Amino acid sequence: MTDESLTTDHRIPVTVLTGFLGSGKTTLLNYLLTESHGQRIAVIENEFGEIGIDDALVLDAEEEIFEMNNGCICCTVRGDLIRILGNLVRRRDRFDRIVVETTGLADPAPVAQTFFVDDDIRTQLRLDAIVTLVDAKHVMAHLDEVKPDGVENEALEQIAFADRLVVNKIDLVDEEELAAVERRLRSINAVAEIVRARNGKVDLDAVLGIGAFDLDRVLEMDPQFLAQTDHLHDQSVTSVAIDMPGDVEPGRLNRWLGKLLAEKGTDIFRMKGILAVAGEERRYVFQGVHMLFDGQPNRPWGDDERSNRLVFIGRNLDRAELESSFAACLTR
Amino acid sequence: MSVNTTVAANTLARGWTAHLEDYVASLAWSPDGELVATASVGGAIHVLWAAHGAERTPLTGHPGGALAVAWSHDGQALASGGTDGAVRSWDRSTGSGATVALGGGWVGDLAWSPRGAYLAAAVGRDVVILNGDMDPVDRWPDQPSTISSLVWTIDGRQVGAGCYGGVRWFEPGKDALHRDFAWKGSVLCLAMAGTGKWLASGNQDNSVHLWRLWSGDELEMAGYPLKVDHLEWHHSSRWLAVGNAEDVTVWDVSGKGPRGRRPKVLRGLTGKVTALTWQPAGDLLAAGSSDGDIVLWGSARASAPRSTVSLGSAISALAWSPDGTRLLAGTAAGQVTVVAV
Repeated sequence: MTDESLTTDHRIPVTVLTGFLGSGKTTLLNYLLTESHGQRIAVIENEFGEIGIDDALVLDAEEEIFEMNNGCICCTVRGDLIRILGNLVRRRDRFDRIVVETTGLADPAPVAQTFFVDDDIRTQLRLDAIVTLVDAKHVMAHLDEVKPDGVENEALEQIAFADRLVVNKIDLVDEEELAAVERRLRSINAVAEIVRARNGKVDLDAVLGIGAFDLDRVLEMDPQFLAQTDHLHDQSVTSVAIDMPGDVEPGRLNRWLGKLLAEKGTDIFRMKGILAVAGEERRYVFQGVHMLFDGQPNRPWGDDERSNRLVFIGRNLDRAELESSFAACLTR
Repeated sequence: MSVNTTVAANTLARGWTAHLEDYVASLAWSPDGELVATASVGGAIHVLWAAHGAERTPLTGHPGGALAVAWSHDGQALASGGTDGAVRSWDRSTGSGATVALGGGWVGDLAWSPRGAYLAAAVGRDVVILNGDMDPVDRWPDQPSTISSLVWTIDGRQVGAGCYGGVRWFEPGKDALHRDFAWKGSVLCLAMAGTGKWLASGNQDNSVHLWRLWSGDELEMAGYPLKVDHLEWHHSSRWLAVGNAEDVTVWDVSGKGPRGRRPKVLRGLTGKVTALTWQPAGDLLAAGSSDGDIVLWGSARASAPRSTVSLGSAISALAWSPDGTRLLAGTAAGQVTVVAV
């Protein structure tokens, strides 16, 4: 059972690079391609960028969102990616890594869900992380933009979905503005690590090989980090963290989670957690995108205090309600 | 619950093997059975002698990747399509080739009309009709999504294009949409029954959809474990075989159709079904799997496989010889092997 962590995953990692128009995605991409010596990287672009690297394979794709017949949001996938990635993995010249660059207006959910839902993709490719690039100078304005009813603020969604936030163009703002931007980002997404960049220059390790969808990485969630989920703004998309000692009763937990995802799955963009399930010696770790859920027992608790840490990122989340309903799942 | 059948199946006799450079995306046997054409993901198109597998003619391929090959009904023309957005043709008697750059996306599927007058090409979101001289004569652009599959009615008057949003029908020479089998879902593959009465689609949402032509009556078989991208009709049009996960299900579509009937499940594969094809005029059903096996069942109601063979690499394409005596298999490793049945 401990062998799980030793098995090697041979699937090709895929990084999803998202961010508003003007945030510097093409510059960052060109930088990554230049710096990643010896790695074969294929890039799938949804908008015409100017990739200046000759030996990179660059493929154009037009965003095609497929909703499935049952109307469930979690079954929304990207038909263009299924087709192009499916063809790419058949080639003999295997790639070490694939980067999917989405437009500034793209909804990250169908991109992420493609890696859960489509079997051909899931068995051959591994979603490494969603990396969202933000423009330090303009992100606040994008976030504050008032959209007509029913229209998503894409900048907000892309930040909420991110596993890593790259704050670019830091030279265009002063330290105070930068701190305000980071506070704002943190209030939306308490989990994603924030890295700073100038002209799209970041450490390769900061954006590639993150393993954000790897359940082992869920264990690394920093409780201190999650404690800082201040509600800074009167905004609809926030992070709610729950940190409670004790054991959860599995039946109650299942009913709670089932009900939560049925009622709020559309509003919950991302979730991650570590649970102490009564009668189980190991930590149960999970993560999910909307209603798609992936979880399994992981490292034993041993002498560590058994406790539960969960984080939800989503729209119109009721912190008090989430806390009290989760507390009702505890064994005492 | 599945019961392990331990009836020993015969091993199929292997014939020649040709080694191509890349994943075999498509295979087609010429109607006279003399030649076989192959398309590989690397872009190459080959024409091989069916008798021994030697190359008949090296053809120009599709830079970036080849996706489809199809022989005209008289066997005189071979058409191919690829990610370069081009259709290439080769004339067997003169040996001349032509390239028609269609632009607008990958040429993902090709279908000759039953009487051979037209070649339909799926070009990204466009449906294009070429005449016998390879001149584009009709183009219906900007369908709701990329066209995944094309199918002609048996009288050759209309061509149906599967995409996200259903099946769109067009008639050569007419601009207007002929008929729209609207359906909220993504169609991955289409198959027309030989009688022309039923159209089947395999879909991304793990379902099979059936339409009756032209009443438009429809029914759906949902609940497959995976997306459905392999289905084919028996020549009698009675049986519809669907390959999904490790099983092949066979629906009885006689009379009013499969409503209320349970399909026969054909077992014997250990990997996922990656190719599926019925013998042209017979009852043998062949399936290829992700772990490299080819399994042959004797009929739509077979309780166990009749014969098997393992090629060691995932089967990516299967094609029967026109006389139904040999089966051509392509693999993910670029191997093309003929087996006698």
